[in-house]
Amino acid sequence: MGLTASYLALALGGLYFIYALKYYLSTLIALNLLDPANPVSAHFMTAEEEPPSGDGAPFVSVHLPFYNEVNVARRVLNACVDLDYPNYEVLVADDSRDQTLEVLRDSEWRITRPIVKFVHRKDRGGFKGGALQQALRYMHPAAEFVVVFDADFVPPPDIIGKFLGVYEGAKAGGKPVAAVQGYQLHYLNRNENWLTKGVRVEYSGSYMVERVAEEALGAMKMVSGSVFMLRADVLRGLGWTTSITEDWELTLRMYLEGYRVAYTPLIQAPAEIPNTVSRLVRQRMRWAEGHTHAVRRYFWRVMLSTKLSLAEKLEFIYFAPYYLQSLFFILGTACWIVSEVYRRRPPFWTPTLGWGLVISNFLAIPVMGLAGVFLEGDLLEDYSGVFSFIALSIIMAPYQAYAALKGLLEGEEGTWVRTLKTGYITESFIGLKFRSLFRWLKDVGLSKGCGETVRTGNPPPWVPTRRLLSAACLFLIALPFLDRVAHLIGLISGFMVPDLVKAALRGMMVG
Amino acid sequence: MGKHFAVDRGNLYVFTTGKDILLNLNSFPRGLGLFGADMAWRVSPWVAVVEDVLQKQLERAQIVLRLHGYEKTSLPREALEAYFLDGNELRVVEKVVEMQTLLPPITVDAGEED
Repeated sequence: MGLTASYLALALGGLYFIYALKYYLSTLIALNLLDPANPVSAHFMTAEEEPPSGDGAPFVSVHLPFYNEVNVARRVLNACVDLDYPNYEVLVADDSRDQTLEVLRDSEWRITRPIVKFVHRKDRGGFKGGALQQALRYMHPAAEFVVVFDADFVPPPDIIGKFLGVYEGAKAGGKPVAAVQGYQLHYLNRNENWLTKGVRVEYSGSYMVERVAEEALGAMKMVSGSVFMLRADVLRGLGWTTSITEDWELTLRMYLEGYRVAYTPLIQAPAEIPNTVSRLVRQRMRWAEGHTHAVRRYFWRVMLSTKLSLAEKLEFIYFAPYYLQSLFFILGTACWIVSEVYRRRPPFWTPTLGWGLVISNFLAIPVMGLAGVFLEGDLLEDYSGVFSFIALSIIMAPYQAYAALKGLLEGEEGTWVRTLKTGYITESFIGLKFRSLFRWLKDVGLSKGCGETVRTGNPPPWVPTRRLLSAACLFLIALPFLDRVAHLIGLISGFMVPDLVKAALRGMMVG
Repeated sequence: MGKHFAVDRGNLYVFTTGKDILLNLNSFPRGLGLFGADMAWRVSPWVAVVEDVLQKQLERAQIVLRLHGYEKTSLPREALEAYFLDGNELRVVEKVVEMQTLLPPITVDAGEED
């Protein structure tokens, strides 16, 4: 039993280590790219063209899917009618059964600029994808782009211009761009409790590090449910599906058609964080099930497609068992403990390899999260969220694994379980119109008129945080193999040093 | 320019043109359920559409609409749907004018001559 457990531990640990390796490399890439000292960073991140304005501004349709959003409906609508862009409409695709309807019936939306349309359905057929398809049907015929926000987001006034600017910049290289994904800044209630602190760090790692690296490497990037802009002609052609992860399915279909998704952390819209474990668990289970179900349906089409590059296919392979990785880690660690108890190990097994794999795998995502909040200038304020995040990963693992297996094995997807938005805010930056959020851009020389905000949330400049994080990544990548490396050095020195010593002694004698 | 409503294949279209502002949707009694959770409906700044309206609901809705100065017209559904989408009132106004010219002229009896 001990030997079987040890082999299993090694296999699962090795599998997870591939993920860990990706996270460490992503962290190194993001730390390097978003560095003011790196001349490449400016080139990479300022692919931003001046957004079109005046008569040349393309018509943009902003879609807001609602389902019982009474706590946040007015907030997001107020933000959307106040966008600083001359040519757009706001279209709410509503499936509500509660007092949200009172908000929609309000006359104030019909006397404001821009155009505000409400489309209410009497059922939730197709869930969010069904609602967005309805929005697509009733949007302005002149719309050239569609921007989507979930109801708990608060888009800043300049967001459409930024989307168009990034789109224009991204158009220049490679495959045609069908969508631009921005940063879902889960921030509004980050200090509500331990859970929100943890999720804040998780998102920061994903959006400031992982996706930045994916963009740099030309890998597949997801359209992620909110804060993205799509080309209307592409969306009209493909349409929304009724999957419970309609965003992931649309991503796959866009890539299969030869398009790509561009990502930038420069576009940010603040949002709420699920504030209870049960809400978060339900949300993640839906993601895990829908994601895995779509992977199963599209796997061979993606792998055999000639329209995806090798980097995109590799990223898809990485994405495929994404929601099972926590399970790999937990099972692998459990097997390793069993093998330690029985003291049965494969012949090539060493304690360094075992412990190294556990530690390296365990710290990969937390280090990525730390790098994310560091790059945002929030390290001192948000570092404690890493501990919450670690706890959260362990709590989530069995639920996500169960849902992912369900998605893999069951013929039909389950139902959409909504995540309640409370409208609760713990941060006071709303009055600053989100400008302070962009202070990190200023520090890396990428901001354009973001004010004179001083970074306060990072360690003082004399602490080489960037280097420390980079060194930690390199050390943790090497950790499982340290004894092998030491052994190799020993072998080499066994051959080399005596010769050198002999030569030195000979020299001394001659002298 | 005008406040109008039309009924086509079970859908109720309430719309305005020119500087007229669409009536408050809360003007309809709650019990009518026109803009409630159990009906499919749409609203833009110029057009409100309720789908699959029952005859009974329609009759009561017409009373409310007439009280607010809305006149019944019979425009083609396609024109009203297009108006909902893009807010271009020209085609709707043209149709309304056409409809009005087709109606028999209203004559006023001048009474007996002196």
